Amino acid sequence: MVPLHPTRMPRSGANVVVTDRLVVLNIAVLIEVGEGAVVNNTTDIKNKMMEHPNMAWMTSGDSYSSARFWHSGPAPGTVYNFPGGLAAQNTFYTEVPQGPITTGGSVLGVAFEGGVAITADILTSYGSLARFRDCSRVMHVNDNIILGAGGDYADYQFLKDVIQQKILEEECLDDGFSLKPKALHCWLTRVMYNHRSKLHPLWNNFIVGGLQDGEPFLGAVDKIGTAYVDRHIATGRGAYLALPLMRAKVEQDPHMTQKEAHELLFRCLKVLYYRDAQSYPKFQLATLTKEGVSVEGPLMVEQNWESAHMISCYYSVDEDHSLLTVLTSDYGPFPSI
Amino acid sequence: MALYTVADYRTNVGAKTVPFIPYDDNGGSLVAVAGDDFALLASDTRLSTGFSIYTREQSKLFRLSDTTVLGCAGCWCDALTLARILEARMQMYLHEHQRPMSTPAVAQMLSTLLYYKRFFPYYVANLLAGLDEEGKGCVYSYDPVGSYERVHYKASGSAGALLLPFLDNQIGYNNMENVTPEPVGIPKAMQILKDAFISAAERDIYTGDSIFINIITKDGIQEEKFALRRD
Amino acid sequence: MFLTRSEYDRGVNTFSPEGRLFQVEYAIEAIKLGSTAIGICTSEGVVLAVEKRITSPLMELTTIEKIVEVDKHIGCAVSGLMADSRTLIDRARIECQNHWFIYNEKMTVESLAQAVSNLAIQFGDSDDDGGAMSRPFGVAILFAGCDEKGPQLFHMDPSGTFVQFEAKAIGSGSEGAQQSLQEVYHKSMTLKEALNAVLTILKQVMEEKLSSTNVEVMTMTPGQLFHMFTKDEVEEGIKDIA
Repeated sequence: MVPLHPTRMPRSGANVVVTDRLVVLNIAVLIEVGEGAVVNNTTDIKNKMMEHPNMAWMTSGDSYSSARFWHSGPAPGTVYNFPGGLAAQNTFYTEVPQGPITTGGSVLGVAFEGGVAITADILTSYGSLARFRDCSRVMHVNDNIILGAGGDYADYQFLKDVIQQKILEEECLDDGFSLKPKALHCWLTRVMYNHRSKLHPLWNNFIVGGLQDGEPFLGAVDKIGTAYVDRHIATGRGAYLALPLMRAKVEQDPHMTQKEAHELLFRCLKVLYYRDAQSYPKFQLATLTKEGVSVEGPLMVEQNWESAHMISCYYSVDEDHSLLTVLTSDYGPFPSI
Repeated sequence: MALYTVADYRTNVGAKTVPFIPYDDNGGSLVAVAGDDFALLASDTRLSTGFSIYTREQSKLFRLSDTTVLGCAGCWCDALTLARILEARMQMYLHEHQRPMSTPAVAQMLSTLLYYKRFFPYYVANLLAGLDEEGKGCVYSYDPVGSYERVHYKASGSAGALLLPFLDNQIGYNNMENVTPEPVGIPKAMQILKDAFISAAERDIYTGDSIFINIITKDGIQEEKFALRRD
Repeated sequence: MFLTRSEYDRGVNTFSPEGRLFQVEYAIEAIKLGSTAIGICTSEGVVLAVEKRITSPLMELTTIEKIVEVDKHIGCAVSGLMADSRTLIDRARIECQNHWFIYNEKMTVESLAQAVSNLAIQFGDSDDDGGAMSRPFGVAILFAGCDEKGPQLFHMDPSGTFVQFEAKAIGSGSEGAQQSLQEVYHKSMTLKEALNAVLTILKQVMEEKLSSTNVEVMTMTPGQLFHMFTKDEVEEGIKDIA
């Protein structure tokens, strides 16, 4: 659980909801409030904060600890609440399970002779809005493992922190052992399943890649804990657009080289960029072999719009083709600009 | 009021609220046959969701002991979890009682495990096959909330309804005239099982790619693979 | 160094410098005040016999129950504090039923002894593991049962130690009785011989005269499983050894 940090608290009497993960300015729940009802929830927030183990020192004094630091007022970092104010009991909203907010798109992974490669573009979207354009979604876990993530970016960042802490603690032992890909894959499966069983899912698709006893390993986990292993995995719209290409390639050539694997991934990314509106031409590529891990990028999807003029109502904005706006329609020509 | 502005903003352009459904149907079919001194259990290897295939080589059989195999199809995350819990419970039993669990004991435990999740069930079709304490082949069939029975043969999973009438006819000798029912042996059971899967793969999009067959006898468990259509 | 016993015999979780838990040892001593119970395990089955002490002529003897059924295939004889024994027997019965409920099979005698001993050692004076006993149980138990390994006899004492026996005596007359058991026991004993032996030995160690009212007898056989002797059957048994 992420410790609730006092500095994240909104100071005003804003409408806020405290979930057990984060303080969220939750716009969605306001609809439940109804017209005219303004909720001042500072008491709730304070109480919720105090329930958190990391915050308990601020209020509860037991016989083992010193007297309370701050009397007759809010503890440092908490919100002042006037006694007998409007901050009455909250009956206006209930916490609802969350959907994904800021999301990453497809993740692609492929195993080759002596290693694995995982790639994902660096766009995260807010619904259909292309929101952030520099979000890394591949992770160098350790020299045995790489990880790619799709779905809710906040959930990924949360898990990334947890994984990095695991790796750090393991490195501190300095016993020569390190986490292996199958172990991380299994662990992730349990984490995802346990969250979904609490109906509070981590809204992600993960691809775990690595070398397990010298053999390439590639495994997928989704938001409910569905897990499987294959030589090629694609999530999101990649499952429809990229996976058939990957299957065709692996079927005709089961022992791909690293170069061939990269070419395959580039081709898949290109197809995704052409057809998936939620994709982005900048991507990162993580490759793991026994020589080590490399995370390259942001790289650019190779693209070619030369045939685009053959499509009716195609307009090129930039002459040098560096940034193109492509307007096409299946329903006849666009009105002229 | 201001609140409405916020609401409109959300419904029109913001991130959409996606309802969370904790289950998925990942398909997969199972067939089990019990003989006098053997049991067969087979699953297809297609793992799918909706109209797409996650992988073509996911066996749905879990080898629990030298005499017991579990077949688990449906919501794959539940299947994985259930199989792991079973394995852990069997290990605990071994340590507590200094003997491996018999197939009938696993069968009863599986039923209680499923029933204890009655109000948030494991969404899986289970077939448990193995040898009982007397060395006889046994097959147990379950519903997702723990109702179970011992049967001679059974088909379950996405193509269960397609496979079972065929088994009823070929192994159960239902609706057959002028034949004397005789107990099925391994070679004939294997043939029937493969034919059943070939037919099911023709009609069920969640069944295909290949099948894994476990042959459980007193000498151990043999595994065989058999290809199905991949479309 | 404090080497006197009284320094270390108050806490159930304090070892003496010699490495002894006196409270547990005292609990074992308490068994020696209890009535005698004897069990013999043969290839045909197990026989248990217990003396009932008549402390008053006005006592209703049938209300003293020292041999009880735990499950159809397991019975037990107890000696020591009877109230404590009820707690242990309750647990034994629950463990058997729970095993049947989860695994649809009979619990083995050894597993049952293990399960009951787990309760027997849960004593201590900490508050947080609430519900546990604050002192050891002052009871010894003989478990007689038939499972897939055949007829078996197990003995458990207040320390939670359980051991399988071919023949075992507990209670006030146990020392003499155990000596006699060693003399009479042999591997090829029949159930009838065992029955005669337990009654004969009980007769020797009991202060009162052996009769059908002051003794309880039970047999555990693969065919009949738990069988408590009726008054007539006990009388017949006594007649045979006369």
